[in-house]
Amino acid sequence: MSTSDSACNAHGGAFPRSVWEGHYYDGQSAERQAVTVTIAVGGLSIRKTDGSIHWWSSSEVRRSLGSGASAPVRLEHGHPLPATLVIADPAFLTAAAQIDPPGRLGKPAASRWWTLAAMAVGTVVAGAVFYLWLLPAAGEAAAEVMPVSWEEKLGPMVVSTLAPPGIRCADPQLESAMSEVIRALTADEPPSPYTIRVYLVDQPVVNALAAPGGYIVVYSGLVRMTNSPHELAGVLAHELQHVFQRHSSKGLMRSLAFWGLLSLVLGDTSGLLVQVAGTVSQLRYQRADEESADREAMRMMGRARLDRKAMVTLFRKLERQAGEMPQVLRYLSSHPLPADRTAYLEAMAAQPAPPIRPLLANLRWPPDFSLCRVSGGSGEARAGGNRNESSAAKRAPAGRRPEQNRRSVWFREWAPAGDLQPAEPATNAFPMFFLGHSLR
Amino acid sequence: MTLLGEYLKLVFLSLGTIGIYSFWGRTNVRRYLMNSIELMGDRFAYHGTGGELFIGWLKGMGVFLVLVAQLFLWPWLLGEREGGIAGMIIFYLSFFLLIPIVIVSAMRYRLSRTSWRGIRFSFTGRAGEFMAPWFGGFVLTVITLGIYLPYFSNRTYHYLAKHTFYGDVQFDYDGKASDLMASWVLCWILTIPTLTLSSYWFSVRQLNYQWDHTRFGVARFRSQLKFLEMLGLAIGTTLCIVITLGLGLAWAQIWNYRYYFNRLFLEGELQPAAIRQRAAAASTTGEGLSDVLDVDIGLGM
Repeated sequence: MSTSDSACNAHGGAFPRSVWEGHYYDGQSAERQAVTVTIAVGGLSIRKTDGSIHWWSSSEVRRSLGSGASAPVRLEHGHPLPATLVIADPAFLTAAAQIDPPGRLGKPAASRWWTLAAMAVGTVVAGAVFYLWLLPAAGEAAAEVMPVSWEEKLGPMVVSTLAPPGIRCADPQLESAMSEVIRALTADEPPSPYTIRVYLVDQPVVNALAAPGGYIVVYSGLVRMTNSPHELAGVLAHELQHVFQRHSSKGLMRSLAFWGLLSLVLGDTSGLLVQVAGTVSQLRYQRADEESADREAMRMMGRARLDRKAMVTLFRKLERQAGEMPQVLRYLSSHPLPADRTAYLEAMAAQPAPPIRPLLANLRWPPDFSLCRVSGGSGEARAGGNRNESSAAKRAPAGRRPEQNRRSVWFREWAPAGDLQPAEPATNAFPMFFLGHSLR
Repeated sequence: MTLLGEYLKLVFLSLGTIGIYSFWGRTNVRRYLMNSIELMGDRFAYHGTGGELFIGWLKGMGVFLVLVAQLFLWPWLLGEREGGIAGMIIFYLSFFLLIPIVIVSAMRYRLSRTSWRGIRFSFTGRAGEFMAPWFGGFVLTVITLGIYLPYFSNRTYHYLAKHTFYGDVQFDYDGKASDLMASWVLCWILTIPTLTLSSYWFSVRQLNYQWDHTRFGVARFRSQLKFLEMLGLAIGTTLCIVITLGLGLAWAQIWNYRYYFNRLFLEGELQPAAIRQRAAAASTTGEGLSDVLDVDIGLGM
């Protein structure tokens, strides 16, 4: 039985020690005074070396939390700038709890290892729930509420950068070909609020891009790689799915929700590690969107009775063109690996389909781009504006509108047919974080 | 409660409260870390509250929303094109203008909530005084492609140090930028070959220099950080955090603090009995008009 911090009384129990050594700081100067502290019922008696005594009533004593269970005990008393008492030995608190329980100077329970473990597990689980479900759901919900007119303001900004009027292909024949493909793909689809605008750019880039609001840019490099109009239809189907599923807006909202929550929790998102982790996680969402666009495009091709195998052929060509990509880079990529895309598209195309209908049968393929600079076209192939109005009225009489259409009706800006203007490229210098979804 | 426990609680409860708890959680972390620093047998203490941090964040949000709102105001007033450009210019310029204000406000807040032996620190600098030299220095640094940086850094540190008080005693700084120019030029030349590691080397050197020339009364600070050791520490802590998916942040913080403060010394005589609490310190405890600018918007932990 140690005699240094307890003494045996006549009944054989132990008295908690009531006299402790400490240091006192009066809050007027930085001087440190050695004191003797006596724990009494109702408070603390502090005796200085010059004999003077301070009395701190328990109800007025504040304990300031410090760095853990083994740190010196720190007590404050008074306002607005308190006097401070520091006792090096944390056992003081145990003694105080026993002598003066109502004084509430007792030691709070030390955190047990299983509390920590439970919180660690809880954090991981909560984090997973947020990341895998809540943030994407919040992004989707927010994007559903975003008006189409807002998206239609964002689209032109992307287009003005990537397809400024100077490099657009203005050949009327190609424009009408594009419109025809869009029409073929969307004729049997439910009406959508989007006016699809396709811009063809005569550059040797093998890619195509969808911006918010129905703005699509296709590069002639990609068109030249196709062997049939059906392959081009596959490309446009993929981009149309980005438009219809509002991937750009959802990505934007998801991103905002993600970084907003992260900055609140961590307080500072400027660290490199946080940036990298954040970007990698956004890429994962984007890959999921790309795969969804691929699959839905394939289904769209099927519904339009176009050649689904053509889409596979095209993606195989793109895969060969891309060359070898190390598997490990798949997590840094904004798109699924080309080999994976070809694989799942092939699996889908293997299923039986209705007979294929012809597409652009009168046009030589690949098309001729030499007439691109011929004026006469607007540089924009449009489809879907007028059609929505009339077919929406035909297809969905009031009271029987499909769910999708009902939502879109809120935000669709109805304009008389013929008044739909080609989009003016926006000239304000809004920061160009990239809002488009490319093919690859 | 250990630091790991505080961090876990911070993340776990913040997720549950969509971030609201983070102000209190981060305050707990600050309090823990501040209390782990010891000088002459006494520990430092942090007196900030989660509520103050939350209000500071609200103020910051308010300013941000006003700036965003004005982006929409100008196009409406001046037309799409000019309005858009005017809005963007004002938006970015305002953020830039806010930097020195935030520096001064954060210093004032943090120092006034820090104490040692019951006596509080304080900061008497004002944003109005600080902005002009800060901008001048920034512009000169950009114009000279960075050569001016030691002067800019020195002037900034000088201002911040000389306006810092512990109790009623002022800190002092007698460093000169010219002492560091040789190192800086060397660093600047080697920036590309060393893939910017040389600028890290310079920043360690500068930090040591600045501490070495900071005085408090007749006592002097001395800092003995070593570049290679810090580099190793940075790599080690990053690995730790990555491997543990963030849970290792607590250990990383402790290692950083332990390294840094074990190499910071105060040499010379202190006369604690002669250091008095500043009467003005009473008003920086959260009340009063000065509180409006006395703000920590919560950047960083």
